[in-house]
Amino acid sequence: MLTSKGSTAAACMTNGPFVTGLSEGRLMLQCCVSCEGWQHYPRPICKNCSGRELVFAASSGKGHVYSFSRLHVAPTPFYKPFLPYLVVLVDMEEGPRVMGHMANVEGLSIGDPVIFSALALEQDGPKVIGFERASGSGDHA
Amino acid sequence: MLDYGLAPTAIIGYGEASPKKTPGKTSLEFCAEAAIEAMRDAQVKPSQIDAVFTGYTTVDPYPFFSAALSEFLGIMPKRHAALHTGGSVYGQIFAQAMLALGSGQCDMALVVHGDNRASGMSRKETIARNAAGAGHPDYENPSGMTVPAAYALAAQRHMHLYGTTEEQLAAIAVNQRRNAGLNPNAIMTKPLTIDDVMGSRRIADPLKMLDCCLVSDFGGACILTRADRARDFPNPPIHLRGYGEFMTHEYIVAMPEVTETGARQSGEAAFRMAGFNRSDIDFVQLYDCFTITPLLLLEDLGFCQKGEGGAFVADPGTISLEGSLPMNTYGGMLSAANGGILHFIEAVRQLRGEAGERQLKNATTALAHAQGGVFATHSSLIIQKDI
Repeated sequence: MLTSKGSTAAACMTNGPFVTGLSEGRLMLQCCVSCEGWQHYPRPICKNCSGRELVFAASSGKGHVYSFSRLHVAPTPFYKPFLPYLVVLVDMEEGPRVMGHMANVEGLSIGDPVIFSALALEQDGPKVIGFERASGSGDHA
Repeated sequence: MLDYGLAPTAIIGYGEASPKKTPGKTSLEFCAEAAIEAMRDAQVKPSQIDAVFTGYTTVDPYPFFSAALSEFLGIMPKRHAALHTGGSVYGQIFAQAMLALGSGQCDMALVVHGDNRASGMSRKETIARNAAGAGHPDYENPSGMTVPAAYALAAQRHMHLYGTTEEQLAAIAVNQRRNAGLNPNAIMTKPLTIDDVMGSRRIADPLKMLDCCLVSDFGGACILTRADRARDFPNPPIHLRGYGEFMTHEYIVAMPEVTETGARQSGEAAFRMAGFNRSDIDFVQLYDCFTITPLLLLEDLGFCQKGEGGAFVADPGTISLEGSLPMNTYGGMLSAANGGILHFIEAVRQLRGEAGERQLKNATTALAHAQGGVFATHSSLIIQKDI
């Protein structure tokens, strides 16, 4: 939920492990038991094969920038102190595309490798999907 | 041509509410002003209308908008609906009328949409609602995204894949401001240069303030009936020839490829129904919440190749009033007023030959396209005057 105190994903019937994982620092993606395809965000059915048995597994955290925008206007006062910041769409190496927050860096390009990090925008605040530039050969925090 | 077994339908009247900010005027009143003008234009009374299709208000507390408006105007319709489908609603209300009239369920339809988006909300509320309504509450909004940022993601990738430039995007804003200068109802009329757009406040790279549409009040309405009855009314009928609709996703994180929209499928369906080619279209009115929007729509509707939209819009011989495919001839949402309904009103006005200083010569056939969400839902309508 988007609130004046910041925001994170709220738990529902479908996404419990995703929400818990994020709060513990992992990016949990859904994987289909029948076709072994991955998907994000969590849904009750596999969008590839219509399989109903879906499990959650932690992503490697590695991905590449699919697109990004540098924001100069924030959606709520909470996000204002972080301006300018980046909103990124990242294709994870497992396949799914994920949206995340990234501190401003210069010279970012589409296709650049990035790595997931669960980000608390405020000390002890809720965690959000964050990304950082990957420093070369996939070293993973 | 594909008629789906429906009798042909036509627009016999239109009306527009002034988009000038009017504090105290409700969304119902903007709709009513446009509807009353459309009824006057068509020489139709509320008692003759038996179908009412509306959009929705983002401001006022009317949960059943079509019922509230029907009652407000003294209409007891056989069919009514308020569609809550985002920006594509502006085409979808015409489709609802086409189905209700063409199937014989109803005889006379009012389609109308209006809202008090500027005067009904404070600037702060507008920003907050647009932000909160932008993305998925769990998987997108926590990143801090905004509506402009979502569209910027598409613009950034189009620039990366095809070499599209910010100046090419700016050319759309400049052209539409010029058209708005010839529209007495337009809110922003001061001429713009490419440099003005490039130098305007950065919002979400690569989009700047002048790449973004206005937030304004608006209202627009049309009266439709079956084409065989249209001769009983005073105005030249504007025929509905083709319609198509498509939805690919709701949230941009789930959009298969952010530079390729469902306008391809909705456009193909509209052209198939009409039995027309792209070259049959004399001018277009394309949803323009941001400059990147009509650029992608031109490509996906087949007026230029995928990736060539930037060069297409920057060519003075294409989208200008004197060009081969005039676009958003009244200034659009970027300069005239918010509310995609006005794209459809302008298409009718041009075909009726009533567009004043910006009137196109020899225009017989138009395509109007609306889209909602972030390139999520699409509706394409082809209309034509008697030829």
